[in-house]
Amino acid sequence: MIDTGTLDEFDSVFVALADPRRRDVLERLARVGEGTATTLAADLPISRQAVVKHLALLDQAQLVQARRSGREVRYSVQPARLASTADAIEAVAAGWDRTLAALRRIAEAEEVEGEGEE
Amino acid sequence: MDNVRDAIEREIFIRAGIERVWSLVSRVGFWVGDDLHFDHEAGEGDLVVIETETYGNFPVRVERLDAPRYAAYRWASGFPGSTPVDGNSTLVEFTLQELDGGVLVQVRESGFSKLQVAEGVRQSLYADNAGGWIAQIQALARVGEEVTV
Repeated sequence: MIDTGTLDEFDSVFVALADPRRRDVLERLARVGEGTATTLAADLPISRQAVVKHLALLDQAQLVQARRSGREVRYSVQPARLASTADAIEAVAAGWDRTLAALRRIAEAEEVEGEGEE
Repeated sequence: MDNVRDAIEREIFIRAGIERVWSLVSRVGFWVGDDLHFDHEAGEGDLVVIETETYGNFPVRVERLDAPRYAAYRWASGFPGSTPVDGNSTLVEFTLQELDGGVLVQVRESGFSKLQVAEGVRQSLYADNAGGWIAQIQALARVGEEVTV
């Protein structure tokens, strides 16, 4: 059985990561540690305005955190959030592993009963 | 198409006949709850409420039954009590393949990125959604950890 409560709190994360360009922004940020919309736009083939939008969504999903520094907003990744999302996905996958293992036990046990061997 | 992008896939080999395995996976919502249960028989389009003591009640819709190889269901696993609709649900597909000595059962749950979130977030979604991003999350999580360490 899936732990049904596991994933819903990560909806915004799934949504935020569904866009490949947003993932690019996040990945770039993860690699440089900290950056602004301007520095990230310089490294990526998208406009500063687009980067700002992506960062806002990533911020909403708590995948990045924003810090004001003078007139700039500096962003950095929230690795714990990413890690817990990865764990949540792992939990769903593990839930299906358990379900399938139980299905196998039942199907194979019935097969034996059907053959009258046990 | 979208199902390819955000799916969790698992499989298992079962030493039993395909008709027997089909008689189990074609029971709607058999996986819902702490134990498997095969008491709900339904047809395509039917909505069956599976009651669990621990997690609440889950309406599960039969999307498709192609005996004995393919069964698809939709449920709102994150929203107990809710009827599965666009925005709150994932698609659960079982595919059975006869192999020497048994049946390969593949399960795929997809649609996580389509789950509803705060208004405003959805609007800017669904630009070209390419790539298996679930694996990327895990890779990104590792990158994130390296940076902070």
